[in-house]
Amino acid sequence: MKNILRDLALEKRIDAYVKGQLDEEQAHQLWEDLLKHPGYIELLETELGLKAMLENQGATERPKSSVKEIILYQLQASRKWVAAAVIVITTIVGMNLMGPENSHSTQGLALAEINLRQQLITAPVTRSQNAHITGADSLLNLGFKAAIQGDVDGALQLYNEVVTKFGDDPAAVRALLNIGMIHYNTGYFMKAISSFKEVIEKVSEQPIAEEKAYWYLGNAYIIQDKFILARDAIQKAYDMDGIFNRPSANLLESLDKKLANQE
Amino acid sequence: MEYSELPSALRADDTDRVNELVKGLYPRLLAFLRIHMNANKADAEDCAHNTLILAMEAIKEGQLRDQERVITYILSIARNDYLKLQRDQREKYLEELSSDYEQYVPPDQLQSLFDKEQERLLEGCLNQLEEKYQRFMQYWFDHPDDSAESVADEFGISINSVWTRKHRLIKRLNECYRKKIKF
Repeated sequence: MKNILRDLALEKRIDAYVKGQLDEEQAHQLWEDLLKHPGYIELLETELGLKAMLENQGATERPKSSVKEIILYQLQASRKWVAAAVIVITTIVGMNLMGPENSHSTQGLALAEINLRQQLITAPVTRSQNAHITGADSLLNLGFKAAIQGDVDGALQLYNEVVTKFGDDPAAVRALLNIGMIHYNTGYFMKAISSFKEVIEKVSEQPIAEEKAYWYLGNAYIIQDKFILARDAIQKAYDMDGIFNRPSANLLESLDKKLANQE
Repeated sequence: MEYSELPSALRADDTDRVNELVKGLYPRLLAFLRIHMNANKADAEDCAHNTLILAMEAIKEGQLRDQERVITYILSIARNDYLKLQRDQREKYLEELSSDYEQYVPPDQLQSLFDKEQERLLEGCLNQLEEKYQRFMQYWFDHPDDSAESVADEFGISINSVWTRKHRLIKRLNECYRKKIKF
């Protein structure tokens, strides 16, 4: 390996990543930087290997779990449930929730329903939060469990709990987005709009959540025949140049035609 | 490597430059998928290939408006492509299992990047370090919530030296491990 030019700030972020202290957005940003500094990718891989090795050794030497470890295990178990639940839902409530993401309403413009199975946000399962499953994450996962079982009220209650208890945590924004999506699917479009607007207001450094909020906000406005507001929201989703860029471009085109016809 | 050149190289049909950039990008994407997305080797390879194809097609079609964001764009494609692959695999598995879905064991645990043999090689490298350095690495991972200040206090060195020592030790271990794995 060639000598790499040291970047202490990057090393500190890598360290936080290895310890599971970055959220998904921060981890994504880190990877963008790592792709420009490949020397550090190799070191990261070795560091993760070393960490796993030392932890494995520690586990075999450690006779009893501490209270902290037991709690962590329980929280991680809830994450396991989510993975299992993804399978279960297809047989239990899939008929209600599994409409394709691009299914459209009778107006032909807005989404008829949101594919909750794909779009509800749970706690991240990537390495960014491997060692850091928080209470808020756990509630998000339980909310997902409730939603896919068809227990909409239970899901809303759990997501509201995240918002109330963890107002400053990024998980609260994720919960708000999930609340909005559930309201959208149950036909409470005013409530959905209110949730999506709150996401946009509160979101910080979570571009995926922000983009989703604009996209679904725009769709909710279309259903309410508020085409100018819808256009504005969809334009914002389009400008974010992310996963909804292409559908936003298509929808903007349709909205422009609709607005032109109205004039 | 300047990836923001990729869109202009594609538009100019500069095959040599495109190949050079893609060749450099592929192993890094693979690392992203293996390490961050927790993909197994075969899935990571599939997704990395797929991502590069999708990204190049999309860039050629002019879907990337800000070429400075090419890395963000490519990572998003890789992430989405892998998540889609996972969903497809789950659904396929479900179809095969039909009513017997309880037996499914989801891939919820982060996979170890190193297999037993690789771990053994790395352990050998760690054992070659002086004892005080072995203790430093052990302490580092045993106390993930400790600040660099606490580690500095524990080992009687400055905070800057903590970061330098950690970097040098990981680098030494990496070099030792890479050398061993070649044999």
